[in-house]
Amino acid sequence: MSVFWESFLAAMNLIFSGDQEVWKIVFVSLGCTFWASLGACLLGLPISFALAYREFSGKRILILIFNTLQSVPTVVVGLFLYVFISRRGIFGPLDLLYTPKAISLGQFFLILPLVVMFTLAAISRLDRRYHQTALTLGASGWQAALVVLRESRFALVAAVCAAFGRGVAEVGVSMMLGGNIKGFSRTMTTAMALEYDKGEFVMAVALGLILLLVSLILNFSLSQFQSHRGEQ
Amino acid sequence: MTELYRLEKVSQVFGDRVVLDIESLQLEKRGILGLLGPNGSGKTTLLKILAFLERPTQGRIFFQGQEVAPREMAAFRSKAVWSPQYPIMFSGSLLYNVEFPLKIKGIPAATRRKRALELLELVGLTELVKAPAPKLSGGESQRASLARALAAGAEVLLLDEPTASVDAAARGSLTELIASLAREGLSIILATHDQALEERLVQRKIRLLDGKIVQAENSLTLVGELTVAADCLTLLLPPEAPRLNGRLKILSLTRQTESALVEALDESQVKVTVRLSGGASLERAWSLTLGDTLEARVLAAKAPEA
Repeated sequence: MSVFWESFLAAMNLIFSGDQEVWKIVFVSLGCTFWASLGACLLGLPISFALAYREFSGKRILILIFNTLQSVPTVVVGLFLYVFISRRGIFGPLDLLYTPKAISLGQFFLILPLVVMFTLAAISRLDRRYHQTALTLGASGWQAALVVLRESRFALVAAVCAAFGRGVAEVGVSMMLGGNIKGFSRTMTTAMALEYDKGEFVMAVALGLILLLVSLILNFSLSQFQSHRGEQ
Repeated sequence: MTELYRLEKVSQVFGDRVVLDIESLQLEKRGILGLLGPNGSGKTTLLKILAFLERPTQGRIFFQGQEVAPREMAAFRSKAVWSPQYPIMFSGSLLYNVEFPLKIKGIPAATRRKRALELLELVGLTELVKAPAPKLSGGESQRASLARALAAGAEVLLLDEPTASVDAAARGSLTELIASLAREGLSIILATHDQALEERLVQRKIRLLDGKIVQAENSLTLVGELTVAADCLTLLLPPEAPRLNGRLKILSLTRQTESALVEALDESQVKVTVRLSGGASLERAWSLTLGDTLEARVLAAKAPEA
């Protein structure tokens, strides 16, 4: 127990002393996941909307694929992307490997199926008459889609939070595509894994606490946001 | 009367089920048209097709004399606004909801607010301007829905069971509001089970059964040559009545009804009501024995001119 408290106090000290290395890792980690989540939302929301409101051939297969990809191991995503962005890959000349951009890209592919399926569930639950009401009042297809997104915003925020959580907590993609380079592409999870390997629990616990804190802030914000739903 | 809608061979099929099958239908502008029929008879589907929200499986639709191609449906939507049985109110205030159709048209904030407030005053909801719209009562939602449709610039209101979610106290004032909108020149098509509403408001009726029109009282005037056989009356119509396919065939009439029909057609502009014996409901008997050609029916029939 004393090891835990010792690590905990040391971790607190690291966090609040403004340790450069710790905060660099935190910013890289949050930055990569932020861009991945943003990209996944920008592409995922229209895909979800099309899956919910349009009829086209191959729709069921597409849903099946996204459903399957939700549970794909992070190392599989990392491995596939590695093939494409390694020096010998077709995107090799872009020099993405072992950069934060590669981590973002990997997390994007990891998060996208979650955003699509969670959003699809949220949109499908909403009464279709919201869409029809917007259309009958003269809204264009895009305006009606925005009405649907606005009306399902609470579920959508929950979907985005879940996707962000999946991204920020993964190790495989960050390790395989980011390379865990100190001060450059080291994320919270890869740093924790490394510190654990080295037997340096203080840093690992500090980063673990920050990860928990991020999760807590996300969930608290979400519950605050959703509490407004009751007031409307 | 000016033509508002004309439907030709319109059908709607979901899977194996034919939910609507209309050979032809013409609706005139102004006044209140009642769309009657039991649950599942195709009333809501027809309303959505008339609101250009659903594309029929096949058939042609004309609105104000202009054919509406499937790709052009969006351009006609705000002219014919549909309001469901339980109107959907977007989250936000009542004012936000009434301003919504004006906002998406890009009308400046001050102008749209003024217009929205005018409309809310018209429907008697001024005191609820800032109230959260999803929490309005059934009657208030119906009124709000009417105000919002007017804000969209509706020329036709397509109301699906407008009094179904309204208590008895509010029903009277809502009925009066709908009547006043019709008096001001708005065309209203309403699907309803409410007999009081039907008697109070409906000027013309269309009765649907199993997706087919079994009764249409819509200024239908039949002028043609009637021939009488032992068990068959045939009315040959001139080519300018295309929606009747030029021919009305009435089968299996009882002797009593046949005599009544012939007698009635002898007199000019007599409204004939066919009654069938045997206890079957009129709609059912028609749908079973007359099939599609029932479109012409003998209600509002006019005798052959000399």
